[in-house]
Amino acid sequence: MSGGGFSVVMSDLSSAASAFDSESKKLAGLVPAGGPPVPDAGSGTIDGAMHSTVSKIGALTQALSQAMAAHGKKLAQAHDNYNNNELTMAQLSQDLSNALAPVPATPHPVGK
Amino acid sequence: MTDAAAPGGGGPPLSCPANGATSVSALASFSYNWIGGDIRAVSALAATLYGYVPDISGVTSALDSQVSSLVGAAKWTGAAATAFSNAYDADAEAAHALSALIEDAGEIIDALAVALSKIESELEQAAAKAKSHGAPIEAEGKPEEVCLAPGTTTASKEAAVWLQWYQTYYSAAISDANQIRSAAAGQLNGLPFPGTGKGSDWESSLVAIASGIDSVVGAGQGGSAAIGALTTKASKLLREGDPEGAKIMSLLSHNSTWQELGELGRSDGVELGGKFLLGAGALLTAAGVYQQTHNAGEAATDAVGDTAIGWGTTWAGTETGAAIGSVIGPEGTLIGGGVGALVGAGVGFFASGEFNHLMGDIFG
Repeated sequence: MSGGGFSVVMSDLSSAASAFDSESKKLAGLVPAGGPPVPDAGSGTIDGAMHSTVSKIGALTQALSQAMAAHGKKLAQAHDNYNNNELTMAQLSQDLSNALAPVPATPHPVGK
Repeated sequence: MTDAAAPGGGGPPLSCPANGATSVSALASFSYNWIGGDIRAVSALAATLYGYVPDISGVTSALDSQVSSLVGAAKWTGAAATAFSNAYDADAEAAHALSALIEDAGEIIDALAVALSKIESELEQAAAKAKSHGAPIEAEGKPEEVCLAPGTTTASKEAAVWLQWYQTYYSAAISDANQIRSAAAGQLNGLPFPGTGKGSDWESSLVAIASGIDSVVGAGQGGSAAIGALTTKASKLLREGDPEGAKIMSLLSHNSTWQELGELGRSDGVELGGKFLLGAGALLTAAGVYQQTHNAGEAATDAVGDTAIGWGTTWAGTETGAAIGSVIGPEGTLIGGGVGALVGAGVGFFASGEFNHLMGDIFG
């Protein structure tokens, strides 16, 4: 599909949208939102630092997952928009074709 | 930590080989849990963090491949395609930076586990040695807080001496462990994680980190082993009352570490496992010469003879002109670039192939 300064392979767009969706879910499941469990390392100072670090890792990984999921949704939306446009254009084309088609001559009644 | 200070004692310092940035280091063997904390679980956390790195890379690789198939000439083009591609590139960079930060956190925690395991292991060895000489040791490795009156027999005198030694050793070990924990906490807190709260620009922050990734992740020369070795040596110095030990510990969490270590290298106090720390300046010189000549001996000679960099040579190196191997010592990893992961910019050099070749020729 192309036109107006763009081109797009609809199947690629659909495939990429699916991939972003599935990979974002993989990312989301990779690191718990609060980070992995932190063991007792022997002092409150280091335990606190480890907690803080892993919770940031968890939060950033979730944020990254959401960003990738957003890409997937936008790609799917782009696919739908292009597809809708294609359908609309096809419909318009059909309507125009129909409208512009030569009207068959109405048979005159015999004897009139 | 070594037991060199033990009465009549002595033993080899423990060391771990550098093993790369994404594999957890081997712990020193230990049987109890006298210094506190769950050391093996700490090591397991490092392994967990290391494990995230390839998983995140796998995700970005899969998406990279998809984007390559999607966008480009004869594929998806136009304003929307360009906007998507740019946005994805930024997120992929952010993922890269996040992986690097996770790896750094893993290295710090890995190094902490290694250092704690060494202290625990050596404390247990020290306790066994003291006990074998008659010193009373309580459960959890604590020395009896008594003052044994030296008896008239040789055995009672020996027990009194060893108890006193172990009391000091035990206190130092607990203190060392706490200092190492504090240092590791400082390093973790110093990692440049961006916030993820409402309104925070975490993606831009990560992209900025990714653009300077070398200064964040360092050179991956096995920082865990490096810190483990260095803290162990520093612990020994601390126990011996040498202020340089504290200085080394402090330096681990600051920038310009190598330069300052070079300055330390001029002190008689920095005795590392029977070897002398070579200053960073001399090392840089050595690698530079080696790069040109591929001759380790010539590089070493040039390094120890270099007086242009005042802080770059050790007193031992200057005096003896010894080969570089003898002044750096087997703790070659302590000058590895992995610590660069903690100290930031300026140590990218240590990632160079020439440095690795030099180290390989010397220590291999």
